Amino acid sequence: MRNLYVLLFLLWTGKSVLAQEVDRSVPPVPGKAEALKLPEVKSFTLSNGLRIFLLENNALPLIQFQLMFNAGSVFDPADKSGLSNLVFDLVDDQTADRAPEAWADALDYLGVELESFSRAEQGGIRLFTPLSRVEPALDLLAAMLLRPDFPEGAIAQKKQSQLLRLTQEYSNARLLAAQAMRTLLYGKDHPLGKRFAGSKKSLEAISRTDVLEFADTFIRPQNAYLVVAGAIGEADLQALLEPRLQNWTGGQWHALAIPPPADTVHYKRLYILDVPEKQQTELRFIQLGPGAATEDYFAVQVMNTILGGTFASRLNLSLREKKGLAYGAASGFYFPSAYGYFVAQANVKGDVTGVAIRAFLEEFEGMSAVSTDEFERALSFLTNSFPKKFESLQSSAEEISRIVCYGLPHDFLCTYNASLQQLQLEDIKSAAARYILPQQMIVLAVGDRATIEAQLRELNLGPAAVLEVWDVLGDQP
Amino acid sequence: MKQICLIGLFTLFWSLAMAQERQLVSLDYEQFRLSNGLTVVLQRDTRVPMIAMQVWYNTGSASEPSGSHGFAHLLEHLMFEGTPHQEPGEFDRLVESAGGVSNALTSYDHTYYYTYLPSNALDLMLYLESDRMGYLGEAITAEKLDRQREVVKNEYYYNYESKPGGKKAILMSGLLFPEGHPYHHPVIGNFDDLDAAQPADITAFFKRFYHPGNASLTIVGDFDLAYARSRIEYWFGGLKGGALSSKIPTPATQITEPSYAVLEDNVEAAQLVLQYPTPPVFAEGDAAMDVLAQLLGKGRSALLYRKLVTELQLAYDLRVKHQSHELSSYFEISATARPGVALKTILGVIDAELSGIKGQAPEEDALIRAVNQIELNWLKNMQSFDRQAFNLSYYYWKKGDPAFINEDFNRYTSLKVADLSRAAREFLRTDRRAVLSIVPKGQSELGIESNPDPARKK
Repeated sequence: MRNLYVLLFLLWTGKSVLAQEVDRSVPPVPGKAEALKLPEVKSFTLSNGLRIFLLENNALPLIQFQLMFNAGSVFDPADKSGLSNLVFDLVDDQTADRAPEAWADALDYLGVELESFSRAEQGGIRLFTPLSRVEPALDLLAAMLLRPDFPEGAIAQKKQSQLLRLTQEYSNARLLAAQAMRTLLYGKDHPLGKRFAGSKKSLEAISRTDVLEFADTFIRPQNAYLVVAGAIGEADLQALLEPRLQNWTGGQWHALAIPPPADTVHYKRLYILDVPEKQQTELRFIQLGPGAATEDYFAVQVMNTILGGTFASRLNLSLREKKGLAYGAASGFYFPSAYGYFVAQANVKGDVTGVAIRAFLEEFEGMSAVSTDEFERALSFLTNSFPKKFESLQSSAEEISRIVCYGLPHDFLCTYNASLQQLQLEDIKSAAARYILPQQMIVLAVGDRATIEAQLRELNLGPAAVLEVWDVLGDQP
Repeated sequence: MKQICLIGLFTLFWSLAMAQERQLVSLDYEQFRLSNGLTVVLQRDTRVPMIAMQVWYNTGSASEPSGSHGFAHLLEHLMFEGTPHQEPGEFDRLVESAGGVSNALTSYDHTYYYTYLPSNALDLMLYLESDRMGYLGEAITAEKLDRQREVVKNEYYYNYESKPGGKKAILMSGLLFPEGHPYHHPVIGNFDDLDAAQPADITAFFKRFYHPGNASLTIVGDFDLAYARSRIEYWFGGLKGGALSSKIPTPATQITEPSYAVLEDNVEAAQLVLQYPTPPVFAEGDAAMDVLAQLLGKGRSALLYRKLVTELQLAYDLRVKHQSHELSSYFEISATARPGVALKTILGVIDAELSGIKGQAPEEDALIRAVNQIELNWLKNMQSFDRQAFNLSYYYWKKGDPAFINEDFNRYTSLKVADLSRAAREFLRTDRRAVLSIVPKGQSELGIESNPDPARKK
């Protein structure tokens, strides 16, 4: 860093006439950042057992509700992949007292957003409403929970749309790469390795009874928690929720329990997923990583910020700025409850696939050395950008939801910056040594085999296994 | 610099007394101009100790004469590559060390640079923005240009080549805006022009358009106004000003007949994309088209969505949007066909539905639903400093006054259902639109090659 300042100074003195009276030779150094004053998260339980977590924020007359269920794709029965997706696709479509058309009219007329979604581990319902409409909005939410409806026709229609999404994976290299990397990492029958939207076969195997049973089992207050962020106090919130939800009852907490990946998985392998005539290659470098509650969470985040978490990270500087191989290159850790993964990725032209792989591997190897300057910059980035998480109500609710979902310490957010500041350079090197292991990574190139195979041979990484699209996705519906 | 006061007045206040119990939030901001012409808009919002800073330049791809297509965007890339005072890469290192993220966007009409960072880095960011506004032109070298040319090409591959149907955006501007129209060529330009670009060309572009008199600076977030004013004067005050540039090299013309194209691509299902030319932003009819987009295609209660996707089940999805620009806007309808459904069948349903609206105004309730959805989006955006900074800058440049941020919504509430019919009749014309069919390879018969019903043609 010091060398750079000397250089800047020389450049500046050479051009001093242009700088007029303002000295631009040294950038201003920001003073100490204001700490974000987070209000306390209040929690209480409704009579039906539903746990409520409230982050009161009166800055704007808006409220965000996020009702989360342990009911994601990992809870699909083995031969019925896609069930969670299907159920949460249906939940926000109608109720027993309102057919889809009347339901959509009511929501849009009121001017609130009420939608359900399914992820790998959880399913959820999100409600965003102006304060002035919170009562009718909660009436609609209550109707969804108390009087759900899953008619045969709607199920058939949703299955069809889900099939189209599945079909689109066959021709979209990015979707293909996203699925292939999970399949390679966990095995195709593993809860985190399978296709979350199911397959033609699994969708056909799903009956209306399955849908009803899934909803009846999982969409229950005792398998749920509700995060609320916005302009409302605890007493008012309780008074709004209790009468509306007291008759919604039962269920039990379904703990998240991700099994270890299949032992048939071969790490340390180079894979080509052949998409003939494709001009670009989607590159993915993947390996298993820690779960959400890992004590290495902060060290891993700092380490990844240095490697590939931001624009000025090593991967992007190398692949994009220095070598001109890609529009961008990045890396990140995905933290589910257990058995997370690391992925680094870029989209490159087919004829530079080999060069790009080498550039990635060099950056991974290079993580054995981290400078104090890089460490401090990454630490500063994560510390100072922390308040952004609380700019919007939805992102605030997501942060709180993560704590509840993964059983993180209650003071996780309050001590976030302190946890970062406790880290030493050695912790970052150690995290790199444990979690960035180029020798054990799966290297996946989705592209034209004819263009890239010879390039991969030159890398001397051992033979590449060649996959076809249907090895990953099964036969096309 | 630790003058940031935490208690301060909220600059936001809730106005609860609007018609129809709307709960809009009014923004209080201040605006001034430096003697070199730089327009400054400041708005305090103390919800989190962060700020959003945006610098807008009054130029975009519409400023590019032929032979220089893509220069505005190429320059946008070079703006991050250092000045006589900053090594390449130093800009992002400084912003990120401070806890910020920075990016930029080039459109037809404007190029803007946006940064979101902690309040304590206000002075640093003013330094960086003023430095590149004043001095970047002196630091554009052949080496930097070559590197960013490659990055831009990779951006092209990434955005347009490597996604199924990705070339849509490139093709549509060519179809909808006739040869010679400033929007005819895509923002990213073409490889021939990019390859021909010399440092002197980009420097000339910079000198012409990048100066205080042709720019605005907007800051939204938790900061001290007096402190910000003095630091803005300090860093920007000495930069040489200039007059507002006239940025459009050629007049805008309209297509006079429908234009068709079929793209065979690596897609699984055929897609139909329609674009209609509509009035410039804020011109008569612009708001009606916004509402029509909502009413026809957004949300599950939308009329055309209901017809095509729910009732007739001809399409998997339907998207409708109205994109406003300074010279001419466009209204876009796109649909993904279910297997075996010819795109002309879908076009037939769309035309019939539109003709229904042209003849008979939609129900009052449909209008209320649409306006309520627009309002909800508006409220959602209020949470984002970036979005507020964008809006204030946008109203300044497009409407001449950031104050319009507090009035714009009235354009929608004052609309009557008859206005929608009239706007549909005037602008959603079958004889003046671009029709793109994106079909799976080898299935061009699913597409629409020319006007399926020549009798309707004028």
